[in-house]
Amino acid sequence: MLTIENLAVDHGKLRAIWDLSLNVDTGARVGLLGANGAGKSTTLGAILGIYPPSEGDIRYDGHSIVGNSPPLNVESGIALVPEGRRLFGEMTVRENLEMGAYTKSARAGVADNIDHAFALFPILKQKHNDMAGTLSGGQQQMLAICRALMSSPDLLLLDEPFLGVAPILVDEVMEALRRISDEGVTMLLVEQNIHRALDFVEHAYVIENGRSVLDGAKDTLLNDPGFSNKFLGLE
Amino acid sequence: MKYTIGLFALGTAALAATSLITPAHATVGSCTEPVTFGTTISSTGRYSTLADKWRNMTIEFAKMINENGGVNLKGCGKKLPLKIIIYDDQSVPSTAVSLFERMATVDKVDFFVGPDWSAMGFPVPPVAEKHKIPMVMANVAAPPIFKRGLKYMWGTPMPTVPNWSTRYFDMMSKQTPRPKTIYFITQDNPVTKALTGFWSKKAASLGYKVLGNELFSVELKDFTSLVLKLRIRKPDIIYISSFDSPSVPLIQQMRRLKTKAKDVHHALLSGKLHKQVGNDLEGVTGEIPWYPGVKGPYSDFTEELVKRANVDMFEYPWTMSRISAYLIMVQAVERAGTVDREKVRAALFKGTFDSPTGQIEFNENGYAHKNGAFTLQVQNGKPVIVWPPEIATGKFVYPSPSWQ
Amino acid sequence: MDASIIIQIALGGILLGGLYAMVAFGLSLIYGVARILNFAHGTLLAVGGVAASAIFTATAWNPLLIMALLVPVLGLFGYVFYDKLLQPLTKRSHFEYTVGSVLVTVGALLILSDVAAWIAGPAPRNIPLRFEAMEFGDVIVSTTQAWILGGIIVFTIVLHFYIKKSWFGRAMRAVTQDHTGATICGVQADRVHALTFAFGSGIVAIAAVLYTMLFPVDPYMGFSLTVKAFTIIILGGIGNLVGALIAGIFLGLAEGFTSFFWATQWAPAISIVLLLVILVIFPQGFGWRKSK
Repeated sequence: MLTIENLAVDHGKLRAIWDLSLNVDTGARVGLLGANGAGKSTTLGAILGIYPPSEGDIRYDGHSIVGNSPPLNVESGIALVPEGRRLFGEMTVRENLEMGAYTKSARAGVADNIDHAFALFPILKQKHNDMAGTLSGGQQQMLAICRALMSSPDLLLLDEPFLGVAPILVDEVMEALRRISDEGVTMLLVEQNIHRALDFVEHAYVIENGRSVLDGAKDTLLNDPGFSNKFLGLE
Repeated sequence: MKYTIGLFALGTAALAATSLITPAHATVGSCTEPVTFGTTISSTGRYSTLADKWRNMTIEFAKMINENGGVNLKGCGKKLPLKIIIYDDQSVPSTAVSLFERMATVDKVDFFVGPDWSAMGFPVPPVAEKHKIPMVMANVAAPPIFKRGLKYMWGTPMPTVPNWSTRYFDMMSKQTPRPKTIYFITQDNPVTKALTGFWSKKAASLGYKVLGNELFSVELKDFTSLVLKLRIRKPDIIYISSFDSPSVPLIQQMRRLKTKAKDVHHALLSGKLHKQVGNDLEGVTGEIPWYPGVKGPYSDFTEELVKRANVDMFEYPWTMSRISAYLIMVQAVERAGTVDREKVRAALFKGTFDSPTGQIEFNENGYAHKNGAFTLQVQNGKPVIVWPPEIATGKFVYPSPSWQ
Repeated sequence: MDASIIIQIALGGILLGGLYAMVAFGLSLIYGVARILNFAHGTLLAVGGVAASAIFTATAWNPLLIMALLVPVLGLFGYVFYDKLLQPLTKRSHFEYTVGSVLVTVGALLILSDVAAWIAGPAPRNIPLRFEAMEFGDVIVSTTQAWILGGIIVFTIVLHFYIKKSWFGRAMRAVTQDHTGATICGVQADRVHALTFAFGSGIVAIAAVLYTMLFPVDPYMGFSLTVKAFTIIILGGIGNLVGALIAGIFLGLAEGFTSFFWATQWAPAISIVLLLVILVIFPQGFGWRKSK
């Protein structure tokens, strides 16, 4: 579904991604792991079209999407749960969800998708008239996930969806993500917490300093001594 | 706030191109070359609404003098033609300074007439002083300009501050019932403040009770509060000392809130205000230096001139001062009898000259201190001269019915 | 003190303040969305008012018709203004963008004023429409004033709901609150910026016609309106329409009462004094913004 080949991305004069390749199959749950500053968020931004690549190719559904604007990519089925959630703090929960369905093709499904979101996280229904800025961290993360789902995406990009979420809510969020995955949504998850990530994904890529260094299925990685020494030991 | 896109330097360069006539050579005592005046007019820029017809009028003035043979010079025993070199000062004082400098050195004019406006009256006369060229300025009214000891500078503003409302107050003193109270409303501007400063004291000494003295900024649009003060204090006379644009909302809101007074006086009234507020101006009195129909020396000449130049004196009330400056310079040259700057200077010094408004008399500072104004009233949408009675074109309607 | 006087002054203040608020609405939306201080905003009212007056003088059309004509014209102007002159700056560095946008908007202010003065003359103009005056005791209300008061109220309510409920209104608020967040939702930021300029300019067209029915306009009066609108935004909060309306009316009332109880010459300056005083006493302004 998504193929990235030899991607390079620059932030101004600084190169953030040097050489990154990955592949995400339809329906899969794939992790993008690495330390802080490795270039994970930049990769997701590049896929959505926020950071145009300097080199390499990004193909989605067989077509190159390099140079497409974020609205165009959202329209074609990609959605991002961004780092820091990027909610509209002075809009209500419901309005935030409605913004998620801003693209022309998504507007028809607003009511259904809101019902779906409320079923996924009932607390959002309870707080639907509250300002997003007044929610707790976990509730905001739930809202950010649901806002991304409002455009009925085929590919969901998740940037640290557990950050700032209270421990007792982490399981609830992960359970919801599993259900979304079961409904057929392909997922690419960026996560610093390797244990938690490997708990969720089936396949993972490891990047270091903007380069993909390692990849494999969950079990392969867990059994790889190089991987274990390097990453799991740190936890 | 006013803005000009033109850059001064650029403007000055561009202005050189607008020169009317090729340089005339001034030879002292010459009896062959034309007599040459040099002037600048604010044909563009912020003052242009007051002066945009004067360029054409100045050309017509020279034509009319020359139709009568020209300027009569006894020393030559004949009349010499008059040439006037005209530049556009763009309403910018520094531009005017460099243009007068140019006229002195490049065009070599014999005498200067103009410019207008006090803002130019400060920096321009020193140019005349430097080159020893006599200069009769037009609408330059601020008294400090004349108190600098400059010897080549005269000015004939119309009317002068101390004589502005003389005839108006004279007229009001002869009305029954006699007005007893007055309320001054003044635009925050040096000239209008000078007017109120002088006339509020004068009114008190004439026995009026001054009920209020309100200053307003040009930015003010909602005059409700001020008008309510008028309604509470109920003055007999409302004296508005303002240029005609800032007072537009004042007049409109006075009408809207049904202000009452025996007379509403707008000291700087012009046809432009009438165009903007229309019927709201009915019955308002104002002052004007001169209006066709008022007889005096050169009045036929002036009537013909403004007719040819298509200048409505009510719309361009400052025109009379311009024409007077020209008339005085012609008379001074004729009195000197020769194109000699020093002799013309001597003729101008403390001189008395003819004008349709009456005698213009310069004091030792070069200030035409006696220039006054006639009182007019808007009646049926038209300006009618109502005072003094000997030249009035209509009768003063008092108390003003539309303000009852 | 006679109650009728207070009412009369209040009426004038509310009308003027309401018109100030309408100018502030557009300025506030534009600043919120594009982070541009549009110094030309008030001048658009001045120029729109001059145009409205010229159209009225030539055709004697109903002011509503003139409004219907001016809203799309000024709206289109706002769109092109952003799209052609300001949008290219977004590709520059932050510093160049900030300074460049000030230069562009101030330049537009000067040029608009001069062009309007060149075409229509620099003298003040009106829509000299006179409705009957209604007298309630000593209070005099012209039907023009009543209509305009009604117009401002209706317009504010409609605008409030439009911004609250429409997709475009939500997009403007979303871009204001989190630019990146809105992009992620599929909002085309450039387009929303340009449309917000169009929208804000369209609002000014409505305000311009109403203003010109009450007060004279001239091509050079715009900047003082812009300053008042900035004051209102600071008091009322960015993107807060209700706050802006309250702040605008407050300002209008302050000018009226300053003129009456103190001296008329201080009325236009009172907005700056109030701004300072209020910012010292209520550093948050009047806007009851919910913090994150």
